[in-house]
Amino acid sequence: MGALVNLVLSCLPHPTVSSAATLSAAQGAGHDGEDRLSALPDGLLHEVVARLPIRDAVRTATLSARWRNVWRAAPLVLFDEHISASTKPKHVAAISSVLALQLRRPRAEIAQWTRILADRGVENLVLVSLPRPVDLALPAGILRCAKLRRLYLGFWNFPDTTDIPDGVADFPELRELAVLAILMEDRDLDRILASSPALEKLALVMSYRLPKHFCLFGQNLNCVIFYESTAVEDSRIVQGAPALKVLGYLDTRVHQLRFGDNTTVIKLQAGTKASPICRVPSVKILAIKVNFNVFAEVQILPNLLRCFPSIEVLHIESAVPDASGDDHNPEFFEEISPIECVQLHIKKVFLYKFQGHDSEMAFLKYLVLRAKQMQKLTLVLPYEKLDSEGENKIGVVLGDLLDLEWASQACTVLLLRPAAKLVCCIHRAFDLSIEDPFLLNDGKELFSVIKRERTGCKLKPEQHG
Amino acid sequence: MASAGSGDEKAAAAAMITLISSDNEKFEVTEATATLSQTIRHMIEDGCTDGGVPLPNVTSKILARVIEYCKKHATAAAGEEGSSSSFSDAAFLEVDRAFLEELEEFDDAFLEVDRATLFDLILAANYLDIKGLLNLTCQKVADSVKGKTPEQIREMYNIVNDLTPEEEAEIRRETQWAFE
Repeated sequence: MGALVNLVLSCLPHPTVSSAATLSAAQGAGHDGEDRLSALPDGLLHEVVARLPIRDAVRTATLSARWRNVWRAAPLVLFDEHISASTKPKHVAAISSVLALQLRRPRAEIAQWTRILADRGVENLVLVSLPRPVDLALPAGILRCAKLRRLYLGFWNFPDTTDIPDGVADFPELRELAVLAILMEDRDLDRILASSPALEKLALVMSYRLPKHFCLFGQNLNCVIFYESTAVEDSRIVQGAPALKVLGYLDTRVHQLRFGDNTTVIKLQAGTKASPICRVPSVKILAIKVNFNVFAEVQILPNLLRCFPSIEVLHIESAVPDASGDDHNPEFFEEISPIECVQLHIKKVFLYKFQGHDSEMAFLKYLVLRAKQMQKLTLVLPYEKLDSEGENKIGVVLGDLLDLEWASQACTVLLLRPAAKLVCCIHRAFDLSIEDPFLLNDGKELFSVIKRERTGCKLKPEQHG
Repeated sequence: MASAGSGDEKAAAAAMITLISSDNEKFEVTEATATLSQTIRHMIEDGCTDGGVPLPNVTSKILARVIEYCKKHATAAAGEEGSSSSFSDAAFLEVDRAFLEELEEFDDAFLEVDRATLFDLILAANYLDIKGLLNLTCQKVADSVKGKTPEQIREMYNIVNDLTPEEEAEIRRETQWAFE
């Protein structure tokens, strides 16, 4: 329970306003008795007040008559952590008073909050229901917040969108949507995605029950992140997401991909012949989860990769081995037909929770013998410390891998011990300046070598503790 | 090589803009520096910068400071473009971080000014529409107010309280929690 809450909280954006001063205090010089601050035009006073924590912003109203309405007219920047009321009811009452004063209403009950925010044209909204209740209904006023640019929702039961009037639930400006542990019918998510034409980033975290199936749709959608979304049994990629560049984590155990529109749907499974409709050439960065111990999952892997012919960076999390048995087929990868992204585009491969399993090695062998563009192979060990037998095994299998004749001219091989548990990568994903949200630049380097083409590399990995 | 060099010089010379302060001092700056100001960018786009850009609201003392800020941030913007790569790697992240730290240090030092200058910079940033400088200077004022009581703020900025005791009590009542 606590872990779930922490995961959701870790996905939330950091407040843009802090109660601590970030810049050193202004110099006191210039005591000529003149009130330069109050003399600033309204627009500039708003700029100042919008950078204050809400408590300080509200208090400016008592400075003088000039200041009485300044904070109410300024853009509302409210992070409720800055209210710091002594009790929960006081906390709620404080938010209510802020919202009521914003709209010059006598009161603002909790059920009216979303409606008030809609009327005020809220642009950035993070609404998490804590402590985590059971299926608390999110007020339908959320559907009227048409000016939203960024929306993060956590632990709610999403309102039903079936019988809503026209013009409601249209989000023409919405760029970022994070759905964190939200109970939401498939049709409701479909509806939101279909009515958010500007959407660029979508994160779906901890969708354990619903939504189950949905369409990835949007002209501008470029980054889609699933995290711990085990209930997504069928993520359907409609050919309406031409800008999709970053996609992950797809889980070969629970996620099924379907391609096409409502009339022609092709389900991706092992052995399906790649159809042109199953090609999403825009995706450059793909993250997947595979249980290499389960042959049925391994069998899907080549077809999955064929759907994304332009992948340059591939992140694979090797799922925790399943007790369901080791029915791996060592010849499998030797018999499959070429995979376009492997032959032509893959530059970097990251394999997390690498254990040196036969099936992992068979896949890696397949990759290094064919990936001509590969510049870097990063193997990250599981969190749990390996025993000496495990470490020896890794040393041996890596040595064998390096003895092969690699297709790439020069490829850096790194073996890392993870520094921390995998963290949710939403922040990185939604930061436009970062190219690859799945890249974790932590971890202690245990071994590194540059593998040159066609040179035998007899170097045994050094283990530095 | 020589001809290419002179070509570059010509291009650079062509991209110089003259800014004229309220006290008639002239400042020569590159177009890249000047266009951090949206106001000047629009003037350049409209082709009305021949013979210099008069800025009747900005004194030479403040304009010199504004140009100092723009020069630094224009270089930063150019540097970012230069180092952009289709792959962000640890090494690139490292370069970016060092760059940002340097810029932050510059901003911090830049704001070591007296209060009169700070308000002049806010007004200039607003008039010239330089978003980064406006953010920075308004943040400086906001930071000076954070956590202070109304009395402390009034004293700091010479604000005269012209509210009646009744009015002040009413405001406090509306948002009691903020004064507890």
